[in-house]
Amino acid sequence: MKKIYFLIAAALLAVTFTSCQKDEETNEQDLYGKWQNKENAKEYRVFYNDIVANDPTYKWGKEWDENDRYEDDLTEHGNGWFKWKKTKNNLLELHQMDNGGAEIPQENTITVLTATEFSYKRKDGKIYSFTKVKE
Amino acid sequence: MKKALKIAGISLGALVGLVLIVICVALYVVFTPKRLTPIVNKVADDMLVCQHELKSVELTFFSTFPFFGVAIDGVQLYTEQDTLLKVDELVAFVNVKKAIDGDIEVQKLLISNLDINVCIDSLGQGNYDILVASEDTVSAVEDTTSGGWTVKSVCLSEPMKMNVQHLRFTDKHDSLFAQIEDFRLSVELPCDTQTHVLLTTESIDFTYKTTQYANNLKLRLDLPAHSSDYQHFFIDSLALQLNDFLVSVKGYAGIVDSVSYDLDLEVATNDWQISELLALVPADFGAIMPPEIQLDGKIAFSAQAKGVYSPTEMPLVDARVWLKNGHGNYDKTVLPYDFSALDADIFAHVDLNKKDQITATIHKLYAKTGKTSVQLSGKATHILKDDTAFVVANPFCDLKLRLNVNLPEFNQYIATEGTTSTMKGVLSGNINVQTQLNDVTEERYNRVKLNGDLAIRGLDVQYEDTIFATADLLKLGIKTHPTNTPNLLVADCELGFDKLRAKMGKDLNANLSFINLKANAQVDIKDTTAIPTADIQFAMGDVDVAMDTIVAFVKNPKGLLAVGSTKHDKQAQRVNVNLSADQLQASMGKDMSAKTANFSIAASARYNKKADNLLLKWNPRLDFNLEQAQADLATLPFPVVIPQIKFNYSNRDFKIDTSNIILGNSNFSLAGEIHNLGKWLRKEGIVEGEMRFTSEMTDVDELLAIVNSLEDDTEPTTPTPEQPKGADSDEPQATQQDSVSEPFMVPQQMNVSFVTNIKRAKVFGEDVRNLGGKIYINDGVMILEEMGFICDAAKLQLQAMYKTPRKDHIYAGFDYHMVDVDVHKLIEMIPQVDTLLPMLRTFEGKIQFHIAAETFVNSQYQLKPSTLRGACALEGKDLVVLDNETFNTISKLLLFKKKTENKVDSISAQITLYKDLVTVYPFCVTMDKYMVAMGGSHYLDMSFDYHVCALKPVYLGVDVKGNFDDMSIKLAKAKYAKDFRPHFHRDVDENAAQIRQLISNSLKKNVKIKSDTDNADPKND
Repeated sequence: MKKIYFLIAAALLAVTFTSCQKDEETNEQDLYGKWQNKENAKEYRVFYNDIVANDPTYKWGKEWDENDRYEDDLTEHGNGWFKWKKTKNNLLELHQMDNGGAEIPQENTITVLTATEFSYKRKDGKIYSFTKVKE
Repeated sequence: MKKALKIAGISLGALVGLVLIVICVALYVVFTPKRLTPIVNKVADDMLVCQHELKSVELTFFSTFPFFGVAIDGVQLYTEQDTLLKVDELVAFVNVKKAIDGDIEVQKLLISNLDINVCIDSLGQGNYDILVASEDTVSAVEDTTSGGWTVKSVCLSEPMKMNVQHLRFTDKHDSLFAQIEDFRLSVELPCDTQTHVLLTTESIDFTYKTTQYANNLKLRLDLPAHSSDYQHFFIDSLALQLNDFLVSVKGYAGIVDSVSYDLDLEVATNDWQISELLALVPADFGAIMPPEIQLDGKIAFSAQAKGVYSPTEMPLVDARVWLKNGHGNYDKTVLPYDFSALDADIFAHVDLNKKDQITATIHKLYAKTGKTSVQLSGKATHILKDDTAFVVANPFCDLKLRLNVNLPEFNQYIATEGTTSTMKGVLSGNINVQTQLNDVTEERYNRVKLNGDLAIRGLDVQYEDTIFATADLLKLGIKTHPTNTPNLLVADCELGFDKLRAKMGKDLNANLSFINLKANAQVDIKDTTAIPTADIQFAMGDVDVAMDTIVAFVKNPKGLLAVGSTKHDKQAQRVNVNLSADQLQASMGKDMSAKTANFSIAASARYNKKADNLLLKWNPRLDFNLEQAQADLATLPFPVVIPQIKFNYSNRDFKIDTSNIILGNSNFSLAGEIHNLGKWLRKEGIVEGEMRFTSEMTDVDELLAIVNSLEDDTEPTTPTPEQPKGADSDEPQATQQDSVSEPFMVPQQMNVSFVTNIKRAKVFGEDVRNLGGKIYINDGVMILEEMGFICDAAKLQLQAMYKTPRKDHIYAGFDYHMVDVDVHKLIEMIPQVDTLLPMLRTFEGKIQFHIAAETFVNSQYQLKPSTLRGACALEGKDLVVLDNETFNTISKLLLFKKKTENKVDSISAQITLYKDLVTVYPFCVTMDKYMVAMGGSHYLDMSFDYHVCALKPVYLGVDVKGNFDDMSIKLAKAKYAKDFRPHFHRDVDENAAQIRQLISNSLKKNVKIKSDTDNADPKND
């Protein structure tokens, strides 16, 4: 029983702290631009301020890993491109396919976003960190 | 010679003078020999300065009147050194009565045993100066001749006979020696028209300085002739013989006027031995024959001259020369053969009045060496120019060469050092040449007309121990067509073999029942860079070829091969080929065999040296037709049957009219057109076209089984586990790359589509109908567009894309939809679904399945993980548990209501693939009072993180993490309550539902097929 009480207490404590944690809303303006992965320097992401024509709630972005391909290899709005929208700290990306077969959603949570730093947590819990690259 | 004649004339004059003196003395002083002889000696003493003897002199007149005769015996003139003249007997009877009138009739004239020896010493003093110079004597003689008596005619009533034992002339001053022995002269000059001169001598010697011009020559002249008026002479048969060399003349010669003679003469010789004839030529004159020619045999000559000879006119001459039984050789370093049976018969017609009409005819010019013989015949016309001078014109020659060549005698010409090269057989045939001589000497061979027919019987050739060929009969014909184009040789050739057997090395054997080649060739013989033009028609009988394990048989191949240069560029080659055959069979050991009933190929090519691509270089045009073909492969359980393939190709258009292939249960047909290949290769345009692939039946299962069996056969070549792919070091990677084939690159600048129409197909055991769609190749991208089909298990639609922007950056993606698919068929067709949705196996019923995925790979088709994208949606309604036994077990265990049907309301699952992450979006299954939901993540390294939760009747969750080898299962909060039981939660996760819907919608937006159970538009689902 002690263990059960301990677990219930711990759970309540966790819920309490979670409830008190305040989400600091980040500035979308900071997201625009080119980012370089801190762990994999060959991985880049670019967030554009360009609105998707037929879906104005989204904007365009693209990503590439130079271990596999270069920026010039990307087909406009195809594989490597994604639509994104930021709602508070939720970053929803709809990744595009070259053959137009589907849009693959990725729900990420922004953990850090400044003018130079950007980190997000994927839904499976993995965190990716980037630094702004001057173009 | 003049000096010798002078001496002879003086001697003869002296002799005649002596006779006249004797006659005068005899007539007017003494008539008896006893008295007359001393008188004559006395007179001779007065007249001659040399010593002399005269045995007797007898004159007759009255007893022989009207003939006056004189007979002198034993005349000898000599000096202290030698005898100048000696005559045993000298008799002459002259008709005095006629002589007075000027007609000299000699009844008898005999000079017996005459011996003359004339010498000139080294100081130039001759022994012939024997007369005492006397002006009276001379004047007396002159007086006699000036008396007005002239000779009107001379005749011999009896033959004049003269016998000279020796006639010798020695000139030490000029180193000249001449000698005639046993000289006999008989002259019949009767008073009628008959004349006969017979002259013989047993030996003639003549030496001048150190050169001996005549050595023991025998001379015989027999001249029977007659003349009625001493103006026209008829020679019955003149025979002039020097040793064994006889020249006979007969015919007529007449005097027309002082400068014109009429001739009709025939001249002929006997057979002259060449070596003996050449021996007559003094050695100092050098060899008549060129030193490289050795020749002997017999020659003969005959000629006929007819017509008037004058300063303005020449008689016509027909001459003929024979060479008989000749033998000899030509420089053996060049022609190492001894020729025998040399035989020639050459005729010439000479009209010097019209020199351009002079002709020469070779009736026969024959030579033989060993078993080889050559015979030439022919005619030459226009030998001389029609000119006053003898200028060689440009003879036109029409020659015929007959050959009979025993090939083994010419093996040395193909012999190579260190190897064996031989040939056997007999070449025979005729070659006819018609040409102007200048065209040959000045190498204008384009104007030469040549016509030849040759045959080789029993041909057996071995060349350098590698090539062996035999043929019963080889025929070769050649005919040239004279042209006025300089250096252009135009010829028709014909080549034929009967029963040709060829062997090259140890591996290649070929047997041909016959070959006939007919060719028209045009060759520029001076310009070695110009490409010959040839049109070759060929026809063959049965052809058997074996090379190593490859055996081929072709029945009656025939066709046309044309090669040459293009009109605009002599260096640019063009080739045209037409080939057809009634039957073709080929096999490669036990692994492969093929046969066809008949096939035909018509091909042409024009070479363009400026192009850098093979197709552009040759500009091929090809018409191909193959019928009733069949191939048997050891790796295939059934033959590949080809009823017909018919297509034509050019760099502009590639058109497949028909291509039917039957492979097991499958049959295919491909037809269509492709355009602008040339422009595409030149990078000036894009390839466009549409091909139609149709099939009544395609057994995909059977084809896959074939492919699998082929892969099994090639398994040893794939990398072994000990040599894994992607090793870090460069070296093993490079080695590996060497063994990997190049990736398929989709051509750029190409817009081609393949329209597929398969009426029936068997796929994964299912009968599929109306399988159709298009495959596009468009500028480096290959798209399988909306390939739809229907089977008993589902309606399906497939779209796929393959593009190759770079060799190491290749895209592959697909978009696949299955509507009304049976759950188990789906798992059977796509086993990976079972891995991702394991509970699906327990259901039965029809669902919709949509999947799209794509990635880039490198040149070895290895994934580029950062480019992986994919999504999958599965939706089903009214599904049931697999079997009642399982359902009963579950229902008992979970205390289902008794009325509960074995039925699930619905299932809707979405899965996405992004890079290394497979996300299984939460989905819910409801049955009876139970509701279960699950979702989670799956990684390419096969680790996972799933959450399963029960939402009815209790909330209970389980986290399943790890991998299949190390799995942890822990109780957890039911995460998906707000997704599927929102009425129990205020905080409904609408976002999650929208995302799931977004996935489904984006997947369905390309679906063209409709579900039977769902009339709603899938796009709006």
